Amino acid sequence: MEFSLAERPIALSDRRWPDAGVTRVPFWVYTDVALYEREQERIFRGPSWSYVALAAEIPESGDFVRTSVGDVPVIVTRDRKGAVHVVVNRCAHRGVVVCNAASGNATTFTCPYHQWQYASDGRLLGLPFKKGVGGHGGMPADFDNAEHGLQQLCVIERNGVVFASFDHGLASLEEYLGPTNLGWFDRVFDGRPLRVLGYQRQTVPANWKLMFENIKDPYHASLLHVFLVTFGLFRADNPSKTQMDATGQHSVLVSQRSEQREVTGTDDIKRVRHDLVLRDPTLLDPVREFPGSATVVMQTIWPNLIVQQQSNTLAMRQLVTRSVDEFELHWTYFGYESDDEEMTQRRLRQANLMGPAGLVSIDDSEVMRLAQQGAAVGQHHEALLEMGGADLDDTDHMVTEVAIRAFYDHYRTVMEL
Amino acid sequence: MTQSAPARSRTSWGPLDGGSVRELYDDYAALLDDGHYEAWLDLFVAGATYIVTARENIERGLPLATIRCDSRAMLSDRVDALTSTQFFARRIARHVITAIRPVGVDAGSVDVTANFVVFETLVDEATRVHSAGTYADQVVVTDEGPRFATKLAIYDAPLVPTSMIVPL
Repeated sequence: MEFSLAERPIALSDRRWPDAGVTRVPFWVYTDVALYEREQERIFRGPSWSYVALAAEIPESGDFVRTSVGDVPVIVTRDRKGAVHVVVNRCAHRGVVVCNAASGNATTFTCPYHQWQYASDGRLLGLPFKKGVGGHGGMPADFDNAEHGLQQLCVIERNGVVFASFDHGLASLEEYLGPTNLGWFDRVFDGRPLRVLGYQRQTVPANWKLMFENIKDPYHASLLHVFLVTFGLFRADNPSKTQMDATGQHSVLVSQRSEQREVTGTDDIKRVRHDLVLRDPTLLDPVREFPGSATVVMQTIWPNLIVQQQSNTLAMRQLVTRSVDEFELHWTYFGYESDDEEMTQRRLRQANLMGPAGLVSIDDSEVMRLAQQGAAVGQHHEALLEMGGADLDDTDHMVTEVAIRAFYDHYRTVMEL
Repeated sequence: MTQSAPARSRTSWGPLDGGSVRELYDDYAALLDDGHYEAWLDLFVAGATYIVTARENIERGLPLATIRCDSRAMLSDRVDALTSTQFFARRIARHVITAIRPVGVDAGSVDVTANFVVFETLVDEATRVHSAGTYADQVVVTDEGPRFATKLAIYDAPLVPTSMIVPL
């Protein structure tokens, strides 16, 4: 009797990307635990700007929010002088989580275990019994507080959006995004003060890259999202374009809505409902608020952010990786401080489209779960990305997978695959 | 947000009969879980608001909801999406509603709080708790019996497991 070695785990060093290049994605990129660890090191703790918060979430001195960079828990703080800091939420002593509240106001953080106390910027301010008690114990004489603070990340802020990096030698955000993607970023973040409207969060049992693929894929949006197509918010025949930065790591998908109507572009879409009408039309009453004709702008910023503008619903979708087969999606919805009450209500109503109960985005979380299930049992197989050809160039239509190809082109470079 | 009242100062059911309110919540759970959405919609008055939000938004004073319907018609649009346009894996939901209590009373209405737990069972998976939280509702007297004028479902855990398909 022969024994099969086929099911033995394959070492990362033995992994080979398919010869066809980025028109193929091997399913092990969604399931290999060692690859996930390398992603944490090279991508999330590497040379990348991770989105961590909106400045409007921490407007006052002492305000903080808790979040994650990759799977590392961090605290985003504003110190007494108004400067923003991002520090790892892990005591330098025994690794205990220092800050347990999701948000709040505090000028110091004290570990609950042995009362080590830290400043907003992570500096160790002091610890009990440092000099011992009654001549006994205490820290060594050469113990230096300055060497035992909370790990600090490099912080950058642009027009109210805060990014952080474990790499302290990274290029500016402007250089990182490139001129085209910076332009789209500045379209929403134009310097007007933002108003945070609230949060939606969900756990998705899928690899984090499937989320990026989903947003970089206009092909699915006109097929899977019957609600969008039915009401003309997104469809294959709408004017649209996909634009990448020079590396392929960031991209933007731009489109404009049309009216609900029958056209040839929906012929292939079996599930479209021409008979459906909204009983309460105020659910969808978008108004133009940005220059230009685009009504949908979905921007993916490497490695953890999607900036969403669908009609008047604006949100940061932050990816938090949890394991090779699970990520969290944190949605922070916002408007502008200058919005009137009518606009705020419009944004709040249009939020029905998105999030874990979204009239549209439910389709995505459900499909990503099924994609992960398929990948898990397809270790020797690969996904096909040939829609629109094999190139990596900007396109001016929706029937393409080019932005996913560009993403994996960059991914392979960073990951040396 | 309506706070639950201490037991000693328990509010009366006022214009409503406590038993009929219990029946309203029982019908709510049974009709949702059995997928009888049209009948479920009839438990709301035409001008009813239906809002589902995470507790963190309430605690931080933020207006965003996960589901926001400003009218029964908008809730009906959501049911249309659920039954005809949305894609999701088949699942069974079970609403368990307890601790139904009056916390405020007016001429034709009563503010009611209750606890809910929703279990979710997906094909090929074990049953799991999908969500737990509280309702802060306003129930009004109508010719057809008590009906919801407002329903606010506040779920405790910020993270929704994958999707919220069936309303809470």
